[in-house]
Amino acid sequence: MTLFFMGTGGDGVITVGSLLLGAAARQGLVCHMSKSFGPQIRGGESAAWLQLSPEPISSPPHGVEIMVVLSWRAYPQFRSQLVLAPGALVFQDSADPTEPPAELLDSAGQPVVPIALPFKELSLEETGGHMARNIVALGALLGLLHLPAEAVRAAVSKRLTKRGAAVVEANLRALDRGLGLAAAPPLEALHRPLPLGDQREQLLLSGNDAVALGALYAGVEFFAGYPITPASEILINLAAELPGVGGSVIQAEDEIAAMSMVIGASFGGRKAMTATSGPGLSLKSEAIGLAILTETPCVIINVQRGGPSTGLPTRTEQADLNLAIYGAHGDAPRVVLGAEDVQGCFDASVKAFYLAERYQTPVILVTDQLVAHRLETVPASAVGAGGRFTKVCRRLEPEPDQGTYRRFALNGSPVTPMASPGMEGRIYRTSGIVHNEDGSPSSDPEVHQAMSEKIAAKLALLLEEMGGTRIEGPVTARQGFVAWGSTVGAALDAARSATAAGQPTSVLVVELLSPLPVQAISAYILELDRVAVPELSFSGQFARLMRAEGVPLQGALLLNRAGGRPFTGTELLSIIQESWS
Amino acid sequence: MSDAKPLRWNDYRSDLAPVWCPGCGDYSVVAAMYRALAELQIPPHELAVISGIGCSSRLPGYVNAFGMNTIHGRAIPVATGLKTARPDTTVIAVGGDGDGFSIGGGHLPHVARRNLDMTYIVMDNRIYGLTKGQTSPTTPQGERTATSLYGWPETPANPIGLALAYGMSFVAQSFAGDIKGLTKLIVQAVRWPGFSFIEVHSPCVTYRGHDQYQLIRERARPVPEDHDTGDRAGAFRLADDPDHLYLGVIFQRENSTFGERMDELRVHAQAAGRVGFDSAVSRFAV
Repeated sequence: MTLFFMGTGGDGVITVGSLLLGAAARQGLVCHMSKSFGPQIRGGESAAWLQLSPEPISSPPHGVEIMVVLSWRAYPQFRSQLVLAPGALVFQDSADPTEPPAELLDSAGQPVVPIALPFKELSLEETGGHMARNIVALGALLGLLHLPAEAVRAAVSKRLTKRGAAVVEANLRALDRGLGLAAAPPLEALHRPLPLGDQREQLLLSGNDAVALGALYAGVEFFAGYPITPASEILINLAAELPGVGGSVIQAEDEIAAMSMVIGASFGGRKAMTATSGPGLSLKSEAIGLAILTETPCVIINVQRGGPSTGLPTRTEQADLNLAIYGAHGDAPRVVLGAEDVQGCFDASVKAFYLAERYQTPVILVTDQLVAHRLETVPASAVGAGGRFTKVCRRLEPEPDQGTYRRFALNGSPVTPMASPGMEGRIYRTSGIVHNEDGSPSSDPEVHQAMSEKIAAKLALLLEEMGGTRIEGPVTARQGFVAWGSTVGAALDAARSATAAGQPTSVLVVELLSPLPVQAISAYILELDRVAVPELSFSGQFARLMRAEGVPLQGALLLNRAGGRPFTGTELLSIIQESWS
Repeated sequence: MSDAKPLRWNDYRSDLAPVWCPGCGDYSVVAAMYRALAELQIPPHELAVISGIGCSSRLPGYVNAFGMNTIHGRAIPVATGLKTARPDTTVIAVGGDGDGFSIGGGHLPHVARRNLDMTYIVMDNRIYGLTKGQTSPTTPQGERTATSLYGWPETPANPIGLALAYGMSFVAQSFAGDIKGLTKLIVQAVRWPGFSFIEVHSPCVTYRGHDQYQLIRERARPVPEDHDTGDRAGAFRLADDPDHLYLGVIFQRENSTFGERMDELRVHAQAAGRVGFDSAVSRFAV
């Protein structure tokens, strides 16, 4: 079931979406909610997409089955993204001063006639104002979808409790009037009961929430960041959670300072992290080079938005890949991870800390606005010890009683013990200048060569340990997608539909982008007859990366486009069906 | 240090020989630092010296302590991260005028607002030495350098005035020609419970000439005995004197440190039940 709520600021679109999402989540359903806003901070257009299903959801919403319009004034902002499923129900407020569009068609080309309901009128009757029209609409939807109202009543009361008992009571009456609407004509004949899902403990998380929880699980001790859309919620979450466990959070004066603080904290022996988006990652690049050369463990979260420059700050894209992998001067290899959904954000965040500490390297976890801001239900058991990646480690430290300590010793494992202040007899100095085994500066080309090999050897070990890819779908597949990040969801969805339609299709999920698992990707591609690479990057950065690394992509279907409009499963399915028929 | 023998100044000297030019003021600064550290008796493994980039930023290599020679302009934020994560470590940040007041100048108001319990020593030679003689933010107006053949058209920054305006809690000025005075100031600064800043006039003889020592000496005066170091307006008057460089503590006013404030909010967070992963997860339950 896909629902779409639309209105302007003050209509309470997001509130009604969130409350309905909670109601469905308590029923054990898998729920996703994406929010969309105009450029204004307050008073602009806003919309919420909800997907409610007993089955896992992987793709962004496509055909809307129920649309609730609190104001048609927002329609021009969203019309290009809106696809109505055949037979869609559209409800509008009978008191909406803005006229509905002259012609509203579903995806089969059939006209859809909006049904006017007295949201505002009933709000006025029960509360004396129009503010509760969203609550009336919520009641109508609960009735229509057969979702229990009790927990919603509690949630409404909790939200409004500060405004006094009278307001709470009035809103609950408005909710009841909405329920009444569903029980009377014309709605009584239009009910769409939602099934019950698995009864299990559920969490509602955004990708940014999940990254923060993953970091807490991994034992983050220090966070520094600078506010930036769409990454700020990571800073906000950790600013609330980290002090209580003895950690520290600094809202830095700028992105460069945040990255530098993280390096300082990690030099001090603490697990340290920052989070940003493209413009911030650009600024952090020089300091990331310092962390690479000094082999300082640290985690950098980059939540992609449209670029370059200020770009599309509130919309998604996958075009920071080049920056994440190459962004710094010199040869500056680092680890880059992707995350495909909210659960994936949790898992990858835990993994990022493990890899940073285990291999003493910066790890950049690249997510994007789509998953960062999407609310998803996640089983409580899958966050924490039941997650898909649960290894936690701390960097190798020098033994106290060994002889001379050489921080960057070259005669053994490329992962060398890292001391921190307070360790007697284990003093070392390090530098952004190429350094000797003991950390002292050197301009010797042989030293530079040897230290470059040391860092490369660490990443080779890491690739060996991690693998970095997984295949989803039937082993009999002769065709498939190679995808990373949030595009994986649409690819999985399309592959399932194609398989169900008799065309076995699989997906290679590339979880590790640097070092790139070239052999695994190549082996997957060579097994197939047809491969598509969808990515939200106008220039096709992911495909270019694979080509540069020697992945055989000849004949592959490269689906590149600029950011803003994520791929949906339906869309990818029709593309491969047309291209490969 | 397991035995009780007191640490001597050369216990703080690393085995790396400085590569500064003969006559460079920075030799005196590192010498004063060794002496101050010996007076403070800080165990070397509990000390970290952090720098940016520039001639003076080589200094951590010469001190027997944990050290990091970072990137240009970032000594302060790296030191901020270290001190915040490891409040048990004594942290000294060092660097030059270009590193601190130009490329890294944006960090100074903020480190002052935080009042981290650490010390920042700027070796101000009023020139970019490592890149061979370009003007710096403290180069006097009219001076001819590699990048100002016809005279430098900008007025120089006033580091003491900036430090005062930013609200640094301990502000001092010194001169590389006065090792004894500088040693005393470093001891005071490291003991100061909060952010301490020492502007050290440290001549670059290579690009600004040997006469710098003489010129600075002529302008140098001890901070007047009747100056109240708690009086910020009075401190501004000293900073604003075009004819004299006042050596000594110019301003000091105690305030809570960042570490103390962080400890306070940790207590609040715990009282709010934000005590770890499980409590964080529970906030997202439907």
